[in-house]
Amino acid sequence: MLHTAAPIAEHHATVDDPVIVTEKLSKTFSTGGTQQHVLKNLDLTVERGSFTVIMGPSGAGKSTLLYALSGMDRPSLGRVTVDDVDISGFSEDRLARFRRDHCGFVFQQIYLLDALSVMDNVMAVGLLTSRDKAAVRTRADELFDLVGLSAQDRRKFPSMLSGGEAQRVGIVRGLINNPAVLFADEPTGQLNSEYGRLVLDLLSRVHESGQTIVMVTHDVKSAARGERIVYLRDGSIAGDLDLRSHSVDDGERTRAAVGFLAGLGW
Amino acid sequence: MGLLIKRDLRKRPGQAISMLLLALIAGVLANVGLLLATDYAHNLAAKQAAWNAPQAVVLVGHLPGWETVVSDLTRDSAVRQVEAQPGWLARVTLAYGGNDLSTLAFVYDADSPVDLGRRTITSRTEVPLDRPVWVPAAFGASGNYALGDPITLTTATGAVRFHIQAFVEDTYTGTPGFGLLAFGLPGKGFADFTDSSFAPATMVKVAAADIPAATDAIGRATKQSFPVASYWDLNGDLLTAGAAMSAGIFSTVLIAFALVIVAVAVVIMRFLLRTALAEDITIIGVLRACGHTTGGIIASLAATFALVTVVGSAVGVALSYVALPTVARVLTAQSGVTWQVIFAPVTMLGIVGALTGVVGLLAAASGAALRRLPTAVALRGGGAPHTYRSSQLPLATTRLPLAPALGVKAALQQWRQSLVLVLTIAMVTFAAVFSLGMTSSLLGSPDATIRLLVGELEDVDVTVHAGVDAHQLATRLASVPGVTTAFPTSAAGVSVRGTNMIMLVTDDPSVWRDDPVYEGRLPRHDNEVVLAAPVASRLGLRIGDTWQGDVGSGEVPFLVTGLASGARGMGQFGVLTGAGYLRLDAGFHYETVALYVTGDRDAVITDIKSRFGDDVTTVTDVRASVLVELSSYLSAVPILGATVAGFTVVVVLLGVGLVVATMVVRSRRQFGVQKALGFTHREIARQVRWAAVPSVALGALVGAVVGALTLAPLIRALLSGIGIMKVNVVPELAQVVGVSVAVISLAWLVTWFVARRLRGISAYALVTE
Ligand SMILES: Nc1ncnc2c1ncn2[C@@H]1O[C@H](COP(=O)(O)OP(=O)(O)OP(=O)(O)O)[C@@H](O)[C@H]1O
Ligand SMILES: [Mg+2]
Repeated sequence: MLHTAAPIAEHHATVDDPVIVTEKLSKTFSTGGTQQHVLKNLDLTVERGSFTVIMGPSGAGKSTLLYALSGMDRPSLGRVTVDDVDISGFSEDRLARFRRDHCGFVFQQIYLLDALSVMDNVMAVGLLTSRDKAAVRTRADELFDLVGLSAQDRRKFPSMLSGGEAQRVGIVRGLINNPAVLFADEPTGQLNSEYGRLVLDLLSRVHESGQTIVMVTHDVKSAARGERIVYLRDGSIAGDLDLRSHSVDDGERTRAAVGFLAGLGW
Repeated sequence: MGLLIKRDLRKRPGQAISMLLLALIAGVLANVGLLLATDYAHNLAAKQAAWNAPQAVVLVGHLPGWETVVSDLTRDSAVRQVEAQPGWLARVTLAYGGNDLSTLAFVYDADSPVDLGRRTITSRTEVPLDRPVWVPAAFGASGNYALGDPITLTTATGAVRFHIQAFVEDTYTGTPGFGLLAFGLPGKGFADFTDSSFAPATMVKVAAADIPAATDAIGRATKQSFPVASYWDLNGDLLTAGAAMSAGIFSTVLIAFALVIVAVAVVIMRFLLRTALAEDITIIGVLRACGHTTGGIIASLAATFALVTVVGSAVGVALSYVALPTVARVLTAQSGVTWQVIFAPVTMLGIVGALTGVVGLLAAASGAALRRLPTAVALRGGGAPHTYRSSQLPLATTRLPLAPALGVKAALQQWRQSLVLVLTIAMVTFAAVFSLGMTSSLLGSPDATIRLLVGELEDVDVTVHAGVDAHQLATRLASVPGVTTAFPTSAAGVSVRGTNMIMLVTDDPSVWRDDPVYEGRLPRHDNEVVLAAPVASRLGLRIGDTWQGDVGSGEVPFLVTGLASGARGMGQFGVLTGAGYLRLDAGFHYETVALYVTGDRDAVITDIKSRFGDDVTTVTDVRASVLVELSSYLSAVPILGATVAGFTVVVVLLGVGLVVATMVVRSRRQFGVQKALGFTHREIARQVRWAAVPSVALGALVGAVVGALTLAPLIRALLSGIGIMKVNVVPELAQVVGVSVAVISLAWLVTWFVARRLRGISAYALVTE
């Protein structure tokens, strides 16, 4: 009985098992004497296995929030806890180690390293957390297979790739270390709609296999891929929508999202 | 265009400063080297002309019939002018620069007017002195003497004491290394001078069309009417050669190093230009799109670099005049002829022009590639930096840890940059290994120095009293405690076809500790001779040829069995057996016994003086004397070594600093991404070091190996001018390794320092840019 009960118990645990918890998260920039409060006392919880979308007008602090959650930057006030570890007081080096161990990133500008081949771009990050080259290589190959990049593509250099191919490499790189959370800041922002859809499909599939994702986007259709929309305005959460009760298939989620955003003045 | 120049300078202050420094260093070295090569030699010639310097000088002892030497010379049609100056001659010992110097001293009347070979007073005191004397200017420059100081000439029978009233210079009696020093007695001093050790002698100065004509005339005069050759001849040619010699070594090394610096500078400048162009390529595209011509854009960049070069090299040349007085002092000590450094605007313009020209050409060459680039491509950033094609060291298979692997990959990919590093470091390491090796081989130990520069040399010389048999005395001296070997020897001046040389004579030269022969073998029989390399080449003789020896009683043939190395008599010497010399001069007998001594030479000398006082006239510490003579030459070496070492450090700093800094700046974005992905500062710094240090190590290795291999040949080339052919300089492993390690460590430090800039690169700045 115990054997069959265990997965169910685990499943229940994941439902309200937070990966990231912020408490009164604030970020202030001072430029030329004036202080700009970009994030104001944010309390946010990201659950394990969830697909959270952050939206909001330009300058609302979406990227700032994303990078505070991912240890790219330290909050001015408040706390960020990831897997029960408070990272707010970490040094630069500890944050770097934290990022490599817990976070994956997909950037709008993709940011592949020009001097390294596609495979090496992924290996370089994978080898940060593992000395087992063969294992990293195997994992990389699995991920490349997943995103549909051929063995030939893996030997190419970033300058030889199309935007869509490059972002797929970016996703592989973001996943290579089995991150607790995959962060994506407008991952389709520089792609045409076809490639954008492809990348979103990939993210959805990755999420379905259990990956926690936090994504910033401006696009409602992209947002509808998620399970939850957090709407940010002037550094505060202006709305928080759970989409899980809406079905993905018949466009119900998209309609729900549009309605939600319309209510917020989007 | 002026705007562009200003922008270029503002945008790249580090590069501009580095260029400035490189141009400055090249300017300093080139100016010192060139002035030595041109103005210094010119200065010697000018003084010879101003002083109406004789082409040859002969010192004639007052043996019966000596006056005919003067009258024959006066009648000789090849002779333009003859002047005889009476005086006193003796072998003396005197303190010089902290050592005892054994030399011939010629005492003359300072007040008697001289037309041929005039002397110049460089400084004098008006303070009344007891027994005033005029001494060569070198005494002030390197002998530790000042005006008013007492000076003691110790002779075989006693001592003569004077006080220095003036320092004088001429072209023929003022070089401590030459074996004859002249002392002028002013006022009643000369008339009152008497000393039992000094013999009357006359200095005969001969002016002729050229040096061979003068020495030929002396040869004729002394051969026909003066059968016993009792004279000391000084050859103006050799004097000039000797004086120019050390200046030659000096300037050769400086010019060579200036060339190395220029080469390094060229490599670095080329790199900077390319970097500047690559960085500016988008701006160039924009400018071109707006209608600027490529020529104008390149011209502005070239003008920036040229401007920096002009300023740097001009400042460098100006600064070299700060260093030149020191160099001049060293050279004055060597030659006895003061060198007044003059400002040479033509040389300056030449150096500045040449350096600027090189930079201009480089800029034009770099620009040519740019001209072919279509504007549209330039606008998109040229595409150049992104065309990585092949992947060396794939991370999946390389054995290196991550950071070293990424660093080495970068070094391989940016091979131009790595090549700059390898070349720069190789050149400076080579220069450092060579200059250090030269310094230590010339200065390492007195014995090594003497072996290299002089060759075979006994420890102590004992001159025997007239009537005492040198062979018998040698046998007795051999039993003195501390004496290991004693044998009769002679170093006679002989004249061959008007040119003089020193003939080293001993019964069996194979007893010598150092075999000076570098090709062939020492003479064994009475018909064999060994000649010093310059003598052989002057006479066109090789091993197996016949040398016609002649000391005034007819020519005698000798078979040349070997060629010798050594600077005795400025490379004008030969080796004969005692029996061989008897064929030249039937009246020959040894007057000196050479001793090899172990332990305290002074104790042995005192011992011999007390035990053999009746049979010997002088006992001389030959090694100490020779070291005094060499000291003025050797004093230049540490200055040279320090100069080269100093510039090496600066060039390593500049070269490595520039290349690494450029790499960091260029890769800013990549490092930002790496940080975002979780690389720590330390890992990236390590990666940067691995991108630079292997190239540095390779360069150091290449430079060290080439330096070690070429050390002996290069020193031989430098010294061959004074007859030193046998250079057994073995580069010391510790030294070569030490230099390489120092260069690599220095490079590592620079890299470490530059990598600190990486701290300023934040992952966050990247994502918000
Ligand atoms: N390092 C910084 N220094 C000063 N101000 C900053 C810094 N980073 C962000 N800001 C400011 O904080 C505010 C929020 O920036 P943020 O990048 O988080 O906005 P965003 O919601 O991601 O906007 P967008 O949709 O345009 O990407 C902006 O006004 C921005 O100017
Ligand atoms: Mg943003």
